Amino acid sequence: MSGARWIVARRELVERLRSRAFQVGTAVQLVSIVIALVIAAVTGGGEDTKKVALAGEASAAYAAPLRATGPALDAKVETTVVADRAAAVKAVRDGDADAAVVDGREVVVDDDPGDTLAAAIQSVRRELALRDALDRAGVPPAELRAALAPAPLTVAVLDPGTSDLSTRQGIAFIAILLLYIAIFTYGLWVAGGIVEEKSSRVIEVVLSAIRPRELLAGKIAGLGLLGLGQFALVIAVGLVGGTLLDTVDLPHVTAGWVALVVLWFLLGYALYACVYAVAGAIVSRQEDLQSSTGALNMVVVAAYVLSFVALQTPDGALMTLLSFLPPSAPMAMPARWLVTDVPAWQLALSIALTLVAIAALVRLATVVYSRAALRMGPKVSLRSVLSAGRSA
Amino acid sequence: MLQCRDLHLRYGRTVALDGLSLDVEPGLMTGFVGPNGAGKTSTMRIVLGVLGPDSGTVTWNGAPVDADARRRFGYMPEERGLYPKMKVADQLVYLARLHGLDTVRAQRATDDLLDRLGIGDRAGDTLERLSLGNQQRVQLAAALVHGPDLLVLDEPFSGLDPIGVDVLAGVLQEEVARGVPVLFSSHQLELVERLCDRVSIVKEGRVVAAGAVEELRRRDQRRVVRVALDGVEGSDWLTGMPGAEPLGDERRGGGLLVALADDADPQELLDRARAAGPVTHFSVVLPTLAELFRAVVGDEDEAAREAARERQEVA
Repeated sequence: MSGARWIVARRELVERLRSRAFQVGTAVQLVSIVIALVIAAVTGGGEDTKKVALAGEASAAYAAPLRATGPALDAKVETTVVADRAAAVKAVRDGDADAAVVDGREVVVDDDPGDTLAAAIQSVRRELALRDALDRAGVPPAELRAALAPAPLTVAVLDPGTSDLSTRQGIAFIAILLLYIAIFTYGLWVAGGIVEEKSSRVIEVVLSAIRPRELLAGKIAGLGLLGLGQFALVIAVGLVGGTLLDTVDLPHVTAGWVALVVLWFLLGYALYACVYAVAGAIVSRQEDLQSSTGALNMVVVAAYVLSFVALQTPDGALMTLLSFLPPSAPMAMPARWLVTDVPAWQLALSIALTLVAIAALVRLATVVYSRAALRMGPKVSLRSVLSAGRSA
Repeated sequence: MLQCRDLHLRYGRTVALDGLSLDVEPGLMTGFVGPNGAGKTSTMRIVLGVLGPDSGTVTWNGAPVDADARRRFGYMPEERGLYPKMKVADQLVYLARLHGLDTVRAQRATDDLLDRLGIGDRAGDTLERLSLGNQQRVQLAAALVHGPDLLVLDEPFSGLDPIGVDVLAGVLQEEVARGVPVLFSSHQLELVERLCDRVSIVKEGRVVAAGAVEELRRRDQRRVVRVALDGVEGSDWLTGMPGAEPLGDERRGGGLLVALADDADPQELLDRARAAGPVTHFSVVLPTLAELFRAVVGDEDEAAREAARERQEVA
């Protein structure tokens, strides 16, 4: 990037970073992500914790085997030692414990004798009895361990990939939403930034020093860098927060997926930034921006909604089509990739098509911006800009 | 030296520039005057490259003006504007950098200039917090911050109070003394007359008079004579002299101003004056720039009618 472009990009980045609107916007995004994660954690998206109170010396042996039953219960089992039966009953009644074992002979539960936790305690009881019997029969410790904890059976999965489809879909929905918000927000930044320079008339001062295409390229690059940073921050907070709160199954979100989503963010931003630049260049006042970006906003929203709907049947024709059309590909292709097996050539073709569209739109935006940047007054029609032979 | 040659520009059916040529020489302050819509702003925009002419050339020191040369120009557009929410010093440093200065030099030039313009203490404020007068000073600083080789200022004095005018005039004179060619447009003709070494009067896209202000005044076709008679008021004594016309409300310096047509003899005027009473003053008066301007450009209505006629011809 040449000197002037970089100076412009740097200004865009620094000034927006300093603006209250940006700081508040970023904070709101991060807070809403954390809130969403907390809600997901609270409403049981993650693992349960089950507490078992152990009373009496004879119950102590239950502690380790009970904790080992966690995975089978899809929960984390914690044990605490209490003084006697009365304390154990109180703990269960008060909800401090989900169940209690008294003197290794009695199970105390609140209301449901068929509780899975109670069943787990019964099975631990069998395991302990068996160990005692084998121990008494003089079985060597190594064999004893082998008998009680044999190597797990291998599992042959007949239909791999479908069991976690809903998880993958959930992540893909979030990816579409994030890409949509990012493309929409940063696209409007570009349009708004261009109109700001026109409405404050600083544009003429700047364009007496550098060329319109340098100003446009620098603006798109600067806002894109800042957008990328904000987008990456949102994803990072989402992933780290999700891991801490146990709401996201991290093995499903690989570094490759994140890289793919970021790549498509960049492509989508570049594509839409050019079109939003055109929408900004043809008006001179912030009030006119709404009408000039209206149709474009509809395209972004339509691409988002269609991708969202089509994702319900990720192998369907609509989803496949959307993942190739440049206006929707930045949302549809990464989502499709997350959910189904997309042949690599399809991904490559979709990227290539989007790049071709970007190249064409960069030319369009440069021409329109160069010709319309100094046209003040009412909204100028795109046709009159394109048909005008003169470029400034 | 900046030379514009035969610039033509048309907006749709409107002719903005019709073969305009203009020289701006180093070490001289050149005034650019003409009625609204005569083509001053279009010419300046073409010099700065923000507008392309339909035909014609702009050269700087003999070579066509390119982006590198333009980066060394300073410009104050007619439509004022900077970033309202950006700090004053930050935006001057930014503009200086766009004009090719490195960060250190840009910072230093900004600090010096703000001090010179008396707003050094506002460097850290956002522009929108400054008074209009101070914003105007920042606008001037934006044109000067990179130490330009040429200054082009579109109506730099409009909206300034007398103190602001003095500050701006002082700064421009310093730049001229540095050898920088300065071109500025203005409707304040007394100011142009006072400040400028040369002036170009533009009308309907063409320069109709150009040269040193004194020279233009002497070259004027009309002869104006100031006559003062002891004890005689009014212009009744003039009645009946062919080619002599009293100029109504011009009272400066006392006496009566009389415009003489080409074929009128000043001696006859003097004879008539002596017949009317004792003559205490009789002198040829050079026209002011304002008078020259009116004579060359004609009254607004006539100009408008002509413009309308021209548009019809084009159509």
